[in-house]
Amino acid sequence: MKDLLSVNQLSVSDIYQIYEYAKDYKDRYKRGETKFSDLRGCSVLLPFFESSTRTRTSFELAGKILSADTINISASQSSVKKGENLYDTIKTLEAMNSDFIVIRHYMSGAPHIVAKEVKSRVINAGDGTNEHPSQALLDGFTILEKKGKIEGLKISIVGDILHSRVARSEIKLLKKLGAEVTLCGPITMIPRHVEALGADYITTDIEDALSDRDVVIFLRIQLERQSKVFFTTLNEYSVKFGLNQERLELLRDDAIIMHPGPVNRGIEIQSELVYGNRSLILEQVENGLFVRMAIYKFLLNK
Amino acid sequence: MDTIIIKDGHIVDPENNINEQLDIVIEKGVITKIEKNITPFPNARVIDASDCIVSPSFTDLHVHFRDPGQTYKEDIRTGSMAAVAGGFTTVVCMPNTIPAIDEPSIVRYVIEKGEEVGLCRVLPAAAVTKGRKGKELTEMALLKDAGAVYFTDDGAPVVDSHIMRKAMEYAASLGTFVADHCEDLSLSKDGVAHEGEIAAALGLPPLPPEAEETMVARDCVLSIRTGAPVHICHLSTKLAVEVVAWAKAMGANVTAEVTPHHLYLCDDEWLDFHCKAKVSPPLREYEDIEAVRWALSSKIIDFVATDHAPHAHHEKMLDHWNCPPGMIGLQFALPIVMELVRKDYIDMVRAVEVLSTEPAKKINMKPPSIKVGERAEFVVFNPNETWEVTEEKIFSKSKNTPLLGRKLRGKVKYTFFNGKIVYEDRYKEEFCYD
Repeated sequence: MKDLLSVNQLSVSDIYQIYEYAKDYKDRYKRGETKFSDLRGCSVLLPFFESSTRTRTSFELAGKILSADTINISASQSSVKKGENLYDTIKTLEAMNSDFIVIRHYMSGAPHIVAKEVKSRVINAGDGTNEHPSQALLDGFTILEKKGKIEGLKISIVGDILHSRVARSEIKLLKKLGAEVTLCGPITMIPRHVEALGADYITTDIEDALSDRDVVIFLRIQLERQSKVFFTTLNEYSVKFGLNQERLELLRDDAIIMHPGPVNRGIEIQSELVYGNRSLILEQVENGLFVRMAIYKFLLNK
Repeated sequence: MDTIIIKDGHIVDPENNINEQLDIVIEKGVITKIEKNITPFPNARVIDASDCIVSPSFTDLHVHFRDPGQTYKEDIRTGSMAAVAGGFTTVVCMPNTIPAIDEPSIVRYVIEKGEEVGLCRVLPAAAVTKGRKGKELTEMALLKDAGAVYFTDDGAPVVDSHIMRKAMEYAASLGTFVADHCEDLSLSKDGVAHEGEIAAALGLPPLPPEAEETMVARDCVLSIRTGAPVHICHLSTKLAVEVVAWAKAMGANVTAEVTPHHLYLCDDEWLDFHCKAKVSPPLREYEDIEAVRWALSSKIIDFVATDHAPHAHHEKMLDHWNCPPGMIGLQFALPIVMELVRKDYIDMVRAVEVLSTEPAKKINMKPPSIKVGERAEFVVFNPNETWEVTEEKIFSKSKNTPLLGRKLRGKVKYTFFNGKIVYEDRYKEEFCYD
């Protein structure tokens, strides 16, 4: 395995191998070891064809901590739309001969097409509405850290399933690790053939999705889709699907809530709960760094 | 060499009721003898057609030759080469050229350029509306007089139902018909892949099948109400087949075509995300393939048309939204239809009907005929010869097909047009001009 494009490529032992590396990095980092040499002499290109702050920063910082040379390339979607096609993108990236390419693209599958053509190791940092494997890996790691195991946990994913690359990766990873996964959202945001995503339960009732769950992952509502017909108003969404104090009671006592960020406060999650005692949102960001360091190491050793 | 003998071929000509092994003698381009066991005579070229079928050559009512305006994708010469290599000697070019085929001079341009190339009969379909913009009808009567064989805004549907109705009625009064690319654009939106399990799993922008089905239903209803014929381009879903079956049962003058790719490929072509799978209507599911195959067999679908749609490599490398839909098809129609024969969906007679005689009759053309006194216009093909699709074997300028690298069974060996061999496989694999 040269690349990390999809959670599908990872076996259960691959995932735990990545978690072992991540835990090791995290422990050493916490003990004050803030620079590692695993990627010394390696170059990491970060072409981002779609805006991103936390994912790009996290991958970049992870590379730097491992002593790699990192180079950001941001191409806004509009300039790409004017003419550059995937073929030129591939040829250009190939010519730079980097060790890693961490790519985000607005088109589902673009990293797959690139990976097939270049020698560099390609990491999918989010492609269209397809996958976001590093987010799923870090969420799994965060759950594991808090709960000690993933097998047998009841986990719900709430929000815009139709357009969510996070959901598509998350479901695959959590199912591989033995969780029971429920998807919840307005019917307009659940794909017609949702069964193809592999979840155990589908519901449009938020209370169903919260009752007796160990973990609930809220997805970001894309505000720019407001004008379309995927939901009526943000207000109705927050009333019908948002997490509030009352709904929090439905969860198991030791349940946790997560969100890949950035949160639309008051829409997916009531503002006071965002960093409340159930929330692991900041842990997700922190762990993102170590899991991404682990992904580099994992691919380098493969 | 003035005399050619086709030896030991099995002739299938539904119009002349021939379905047996017979030899053919062609002298100065004209068929002079069709008999069993003709003894070769001196100075005659003998073509060994044992293991081969000899049938009237094929007619394709739906090709895009991109000429005028986009000849970097294809032109009438390269399109004609691909056509005869696929066994076709009549092709109907779609009007979505630049400019659109919406006035008589452009109709003449296509016909005359086709004649100049001389490999096959190149006929244009003209646009229903000026510039294919869906607003005003073209000069349909004058376009027909110039040589347009039917009307369509293909590439786009006729969205406005009132315009569609009037166009159908007017075309009917001229003895021709409107063909529609059925797609409700408000449903298809920015969809890219058929809205099935594959699109859901891969997060590809979904294009719902009802975008096609609702428009097919509208056109069928218009045909029932007006009594005017309508032809449904590239029918691709099970439900759309059922709608057409219903309309036919109501006595409507509705005909439908299916493409080789919708008979053979399904949406799992998207598994590598590559836009080579992007086509309109999109590749569907197994049950849809099964439905269109049976519909072709039961005559709910009338014939095969390739929707040969060449696009340059750099265009197919654009992202899902900007990449133009379409794939080439002229050289793959025969092997794909032969697959249906091998799997017993249809017999060889029906195969020849759907590739040759039925589409010819649809445009009021006398189908090519294997008969003494006729100029030779037939195809000799080996239904069982296996070949690998490679860029070198594709005669189109564009190589956009998901079939590259795959093996197909069924190969055209010789194509005759206007008494001459216009394509010959294997020995020379080259085109034979005058």
